[in-house]
Amino acid sequence: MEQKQTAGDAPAGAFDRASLWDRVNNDMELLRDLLQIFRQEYPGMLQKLGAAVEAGNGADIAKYGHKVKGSALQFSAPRAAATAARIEKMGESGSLEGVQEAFEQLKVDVAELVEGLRLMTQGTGTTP
Amino acid sequence: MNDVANLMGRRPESLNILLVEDNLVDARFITGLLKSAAGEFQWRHVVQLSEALVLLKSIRFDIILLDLNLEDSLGHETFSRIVSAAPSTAILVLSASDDEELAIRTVREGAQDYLVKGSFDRRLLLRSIHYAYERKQSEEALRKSEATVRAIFENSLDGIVITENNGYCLEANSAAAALTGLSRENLLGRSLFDFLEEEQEGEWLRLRSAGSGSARFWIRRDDGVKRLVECGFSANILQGRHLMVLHDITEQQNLEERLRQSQKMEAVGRLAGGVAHDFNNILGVITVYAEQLQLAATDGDQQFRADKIMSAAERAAALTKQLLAFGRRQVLSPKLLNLGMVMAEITNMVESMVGAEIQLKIHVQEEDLGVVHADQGQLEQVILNLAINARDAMPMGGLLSIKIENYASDGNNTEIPAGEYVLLSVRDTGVGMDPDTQALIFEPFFTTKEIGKGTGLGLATVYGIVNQSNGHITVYSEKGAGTTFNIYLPQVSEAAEPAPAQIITPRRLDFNGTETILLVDDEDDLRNATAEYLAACGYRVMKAHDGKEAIELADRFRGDINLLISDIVMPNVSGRSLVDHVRKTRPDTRVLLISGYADDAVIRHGIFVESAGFLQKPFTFQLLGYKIRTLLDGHTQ
Repeated sequence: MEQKQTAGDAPAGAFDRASLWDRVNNDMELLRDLLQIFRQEYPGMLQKLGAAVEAGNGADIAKYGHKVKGSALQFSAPRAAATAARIEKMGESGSLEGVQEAFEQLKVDVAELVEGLRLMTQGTGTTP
Repeated sequence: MNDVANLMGRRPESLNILLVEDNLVDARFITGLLKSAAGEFQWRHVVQLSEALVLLKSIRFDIILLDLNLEDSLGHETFSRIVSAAPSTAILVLSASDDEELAIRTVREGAQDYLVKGSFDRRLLLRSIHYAYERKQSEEALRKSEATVRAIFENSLDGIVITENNGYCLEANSAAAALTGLSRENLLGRSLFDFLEEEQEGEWLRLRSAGSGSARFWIRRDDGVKRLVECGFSANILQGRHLMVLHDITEQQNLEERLRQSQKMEAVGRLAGGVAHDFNNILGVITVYAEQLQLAATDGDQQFRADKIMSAAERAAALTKQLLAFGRRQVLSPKLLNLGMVMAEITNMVESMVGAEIQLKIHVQEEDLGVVHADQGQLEQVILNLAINARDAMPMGGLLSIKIENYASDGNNTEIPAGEYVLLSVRDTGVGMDPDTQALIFEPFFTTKEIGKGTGLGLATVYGIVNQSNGHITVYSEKGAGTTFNIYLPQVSEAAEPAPAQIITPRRLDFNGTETILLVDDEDDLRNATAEYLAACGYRVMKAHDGKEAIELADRFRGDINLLISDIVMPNVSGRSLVDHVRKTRPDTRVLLISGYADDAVIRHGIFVESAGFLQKPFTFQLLGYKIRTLLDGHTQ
């Protein structure tokens, strides 16, 4: 099915925009703050997760997968959260088959989330 | 500030929150939501557990929002350490893990709620925070209330017992255990009926059916000791749970009983003394007329009858003397005495009195025996009375032990006030007494002896004498196990005076004289008979029926009045006022006081007379004549 994508919309399925807007209490300033912090934090998180995946370090994979999952949940981003949760579980269980592919998927999910959030918060208005 | 509000049970103006979260997005999200609540919250944010633990040492937060997975601690471990550091603070767990097991575990261990990230919005977060705070406050209030109730329960000086419907003990505090003489563990499961006397079960059932109230019970402990308790009872403080509060009033009861006994003895003593006084006046009349009959007897029959009257009057006088001793109204000649020496003087008498059937053992402390200040005759009477009672308690023979030794009381656990005493202990191996009998033995006219054998005045006399000597008396006795009387006489510091030679009244009838005597007594018969006798002896006698008439007579009379013989207790002007007046107006007049009360009355009326200047009613003319001559001849010399 073809996904419609317009300015101000996130890529379809990246996050639940209405839910997020509701959860941040319709507070655009808060949402912009959250996005700014996430932009600062997520490259480092993904980098640490990538290193752990590279090293096959289950504990670190679980730990950083968990962190990305937490942020994704806060942004009402079920797809990124689900991918991060899958990686976290792999790390916890030590069964790392497919973890590299999952990590690559997570990077895509997060990038789409960030882009979607950028579109939602662009401009100077107080509403999306 | 919040601490004070919490202590007062009030909600603080803004809740103080500690946010422990290492994910900055999550942290900003939460603080953003908190900020929207317009001053309802203040918060501190830390990213590591170690930072949180440091803060918790110095700041009391109302709420902790806690992420479990931190850089320096993971999962349940994070929670455990925070709970230990802040046990009375509400904790709200925030986690990215939708882990049911962990959620249940943390809530069971004290977390107020477990929120999964992404699943809550502002409304839910704020509501969770408020609920968490209120729940924790309630829990803390309940915990403190329980702790307070428990502390009261544990520390109450009164015994507290919770029983079930059949009286079995479900809970008991230490005081209750101490009352029953059991450990708490052993008291639980016991029925309180086990400790009650049978005859008290009715009273207990009455209290039980009333539902609430109080009653007094004697509790008999397993070791046989009995304690009197005031028991407050409230039924069904919880369904099927009944409260008993037991207040030990044994000591209080003993003190009250002793006070009652002492007041009763005092009242009986006054009565006895008063009766004895009146008797002495009557006996005085009988004695003087009987003596006149003796002197006037013209044949053997008349002499015999007069002697009988006199002898009966003397026996009656001996009885009233004992009553006076009990009423503490006997003449005392207290001096410093070594009780051992007193005992030695009457040992032969005691031996012959108790008889051969009874073995007599006397032990007197030989060295450093303390000295007491008492009347020797009275102490002899005490020993003899106790020895007679001991003898009568051992009709089949036995052992009579008399022990005299020093005794020091520290005043604790004893009826004897602190001090140094000489203890006279008289113990027999006789029939003993039950508690009911013991309670009555010091009362006048109470006797266990056969009718006609005991006057009932022996122990009453002992009691009076011991009290009059500022001593104390105790009795220990059990039915069938003998009796011990302990008498504690306070020691004084000086050495004992040697006993003076006994004054022997010469038996003579010619106490004639020619001096002028003013005789004052409100007893008409006694006054007239005495005046008649004195006139017959050659004295010039002026009679007055009270102090007022005596003063008028003395003031009118121009000649010498060599001797004033006066009663002490009289209507109108008393003996004291009369003596004061006469001593002022006629300093050479000698004074002889007569009274049915004797020494105590003299003291109460504040008159000082030398010992030769007092004569206790009833008296014989011989004794009166002797006294008169002693006073007048001594004056002349």
